[in-house]
Amino acid sequence: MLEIINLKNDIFGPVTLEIEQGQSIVVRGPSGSGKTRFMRAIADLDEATGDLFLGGQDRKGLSAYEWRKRVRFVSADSTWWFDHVEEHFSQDYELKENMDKLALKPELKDWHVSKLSTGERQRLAFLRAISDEPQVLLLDEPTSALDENSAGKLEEMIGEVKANGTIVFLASHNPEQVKKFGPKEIVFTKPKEIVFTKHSVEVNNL
Amino acid sequence: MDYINLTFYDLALASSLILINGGISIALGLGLERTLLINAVRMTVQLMAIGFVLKFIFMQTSPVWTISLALIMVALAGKEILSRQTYQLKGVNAYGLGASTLFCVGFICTLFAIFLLVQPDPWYSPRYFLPILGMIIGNTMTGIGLGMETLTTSVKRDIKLIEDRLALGEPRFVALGDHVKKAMKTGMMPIINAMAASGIISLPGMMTGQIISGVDPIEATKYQLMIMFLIAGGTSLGTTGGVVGMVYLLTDDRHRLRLERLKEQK
Repeated sequence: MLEIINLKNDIFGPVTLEIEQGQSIVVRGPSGSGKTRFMRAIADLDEATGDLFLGGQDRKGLSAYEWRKRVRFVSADSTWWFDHVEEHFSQDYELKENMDKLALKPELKDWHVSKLSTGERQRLAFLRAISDEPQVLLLDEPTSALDENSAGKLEEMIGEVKANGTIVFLASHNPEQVKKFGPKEIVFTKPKEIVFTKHSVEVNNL
Repeated sequence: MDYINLTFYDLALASSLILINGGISIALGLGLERTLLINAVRMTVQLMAIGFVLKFIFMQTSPVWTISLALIMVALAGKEILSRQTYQLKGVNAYGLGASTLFCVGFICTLFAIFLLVQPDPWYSPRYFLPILGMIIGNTMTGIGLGMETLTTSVKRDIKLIEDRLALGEPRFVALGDHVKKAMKTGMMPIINAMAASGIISLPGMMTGQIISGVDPIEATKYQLMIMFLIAGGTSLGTTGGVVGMVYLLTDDRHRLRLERLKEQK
């Protein structure tokens, strides 16, 4: 279980919510309303006050990088630092099998990263993010660069990860996706204002 | 020892060479003539002034005067580091990081040379202390400045990449590892090149000076070697200090990039 208690900074909050293993929550709202900032703050990439507990473990008791090994933020556009795709993955990760699930050509793993298309990068970035099995995934518009077919495959895979117990936060503008990963949702209307619908988890909105 | 004194007439003649420089700048429209003139005048004034200051301090031979001038040298070199940065830290750290690194490295290396190698009597004899310190900080300054400049500009360019690496759970020195390596290499490259070139392509200034003033070339070489080792050591210590310090100042204890702490110069 992930507990978020009064998470707040100058852009959003405070947000208080609990979410169980294997559940997902949709983060909605127009661009610039603070969705990304909120998810970054959960991963401790942005400063925010408040407490977070993952499986009872206080975030304060972990170094930031240990926390991010468990709570993984994945941005919509990815960057790559080694020359080739494969170098970004640990050797024991079953890259080929998982690439196949996302309809990525197997030869792609040997490619120079500069040759990848935006959509390929986005799918590979997702694989990179789940390859060391974080417990919480914070996905920022994970299908923004994908066609319908590959978006569907990616959604399937998110579902698979979720079924294995991962908690998924998903920021999306896509109504279909909202339906698939709802009904729990957090709706950001504009900075500092957060709306919670009837399906929202317990929240204190000041 | 026969030693030929230069007259001011000799100097005036030598300075006319700078006019060629200015002529080229005007002919090619480089727009450098103003800077060139200012810096040539600045150099002349600075060197003349330091000549008189050194003459005065050599007459005193007191630890207070030696150390005071040494501190002023470090302070000015610290400012020089700062003025060459595209991005500066906000607040006192902007000056503090470079200057404090320079201070530590400059004094460690100089005291090492004074107490273990040259051993002049008294130890604060300005004839040894100040030139040795000057050569160490002059070069270390370049290393620190280049290292910090390379680090800040490359980190600034690669914000997204570094944040992606941090998001994957890498500690700051791993996420910034490539940037740190690049910065350290850049900072140390001039001294490494200088070592390769000394004796073949260039005769180092200090050695030239000693030879002209009548010192046996072998003795001059020994001094030069000692100085080069001190400079090499100082530059690597200084570059490491400046770059590692900068990584700490550009991140926080939760391993986040804090680039709002930087501002662009001018």
